[in-house]
Amino acid sequence: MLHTGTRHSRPLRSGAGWWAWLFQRLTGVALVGYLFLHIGVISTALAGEGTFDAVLRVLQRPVFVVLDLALLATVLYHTLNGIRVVLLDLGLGIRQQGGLFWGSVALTVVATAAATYFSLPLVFRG
Amino acid sequence: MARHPQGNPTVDPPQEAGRPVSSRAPGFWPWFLQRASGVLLVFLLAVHIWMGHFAGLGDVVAGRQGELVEFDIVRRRLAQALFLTVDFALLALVLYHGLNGMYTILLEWSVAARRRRAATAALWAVGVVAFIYGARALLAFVL
Amino acid sequence: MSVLDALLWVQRNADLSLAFRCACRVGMCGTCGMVINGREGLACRTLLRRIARGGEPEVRLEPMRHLPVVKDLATDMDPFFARYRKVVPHLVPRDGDGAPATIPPTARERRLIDPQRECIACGLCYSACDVAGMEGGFLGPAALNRAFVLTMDSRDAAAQRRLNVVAGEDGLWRCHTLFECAAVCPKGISPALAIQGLKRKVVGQRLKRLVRLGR
Repeated sequence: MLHTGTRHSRPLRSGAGWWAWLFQRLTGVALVGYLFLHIGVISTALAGEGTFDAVLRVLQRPVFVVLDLALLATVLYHTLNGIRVVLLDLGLGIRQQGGLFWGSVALTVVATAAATYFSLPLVFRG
Repeated sequence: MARHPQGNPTVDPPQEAGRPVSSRAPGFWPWFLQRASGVLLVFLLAVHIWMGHFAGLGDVVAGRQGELVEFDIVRRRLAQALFLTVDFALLALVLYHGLNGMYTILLEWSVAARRRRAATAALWAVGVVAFIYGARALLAFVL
Repeated sequence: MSVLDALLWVQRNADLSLAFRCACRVGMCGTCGMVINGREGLACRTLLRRIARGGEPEVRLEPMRHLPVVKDLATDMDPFFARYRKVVPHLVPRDGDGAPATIPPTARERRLIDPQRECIACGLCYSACDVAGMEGGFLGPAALNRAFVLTMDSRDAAAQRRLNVVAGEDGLWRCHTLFECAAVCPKGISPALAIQGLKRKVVGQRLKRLVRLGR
């Protein structure tokens, strides 16, 4: 059956470079959003020591520790793939760009798992 | 070559052997500084995350410390010139890197691409305001 | 049987009005580029047997992306060539005594240029490049690859002018290294490799200039 038309079906993208770029954008936008939240939270210090400590006590409850670990994974991927992009711009590893992407993903998973292990006491305390 | 543009290409006169890349190459500096700031952020952020979330972990688990982040802990850390410098550098660099990244994305979106100047001005305004706000918050710990 | 053979069969036996482009039928001219089951390819070089072996039950043909469609599978290549022309896509000879220049086969410049030289300007990389389809008129992989080949050629006198074009806002800096261009090229070229090479050249020039200004 022959379909033709100006509206394309969903692009068939399977290349590592494409996924690397998409995730870099998504994590980047997410981190900009977090940055403003972070500045907002820290600036509760302007209202005094008591306010800051009260807010931060809430933000260190177990559910926020889990969110912090998700944030860590986001930062790690953006950092590792960012290093990949810089290496590619330096002319290093261009032929191995796919492997570098999967390496970034793997390192992100391993490092987040390790951080999760060390943070478990914070999730399950009192 | 497929479907070559009509006619033969005109042969241009040989010219300008050594003239450097035009200073009106506006894409270069945002691109370059995005990478430079990114590389610096790798190191600064590593220090920042380690100090904020992992350095005191053992003390909190052992009950020697209430929470990882408390006003007094941050105040004592920022009393050291090194950590204060790191945090100010982080604030400036992360704002630049984040908003410059947003600029790249905006340029590929038709509404903003037609208003490059306005987009640039708006992002700088957001960045400056956020820096002042963040700087005041940091100074609240040291003043 | 290739996709092109199938198209010719359909045109002869089923639908005379079907529009598509082809010329050499052997993968040299780069005229029959299209999107075959979502992936860019030359119709004459894509075998139906291989598609079937890949487990796909049907063949879905679409015109190339980011280009106006004239009819059916025939696209208007003007936007592609308009960007191509911007990089001064031909050799500008140096003034000299008229003797033919030679580049020895072992020269570094030949090792850089040779793998990038076989481009047939079919436009498949342009179609596969998501950035080329975005706002802003990104020059695209084929034009930048051409710029690389000529800029690295010591016989060419327009290298600096070409670098000024590719270092502009719609040039090199818009490449986000998706590597889709290299994945679809029917000639096995990696335009991404050429783009990264040009980036390094421009970065070197600008940083050198910055150092000079500092002194």
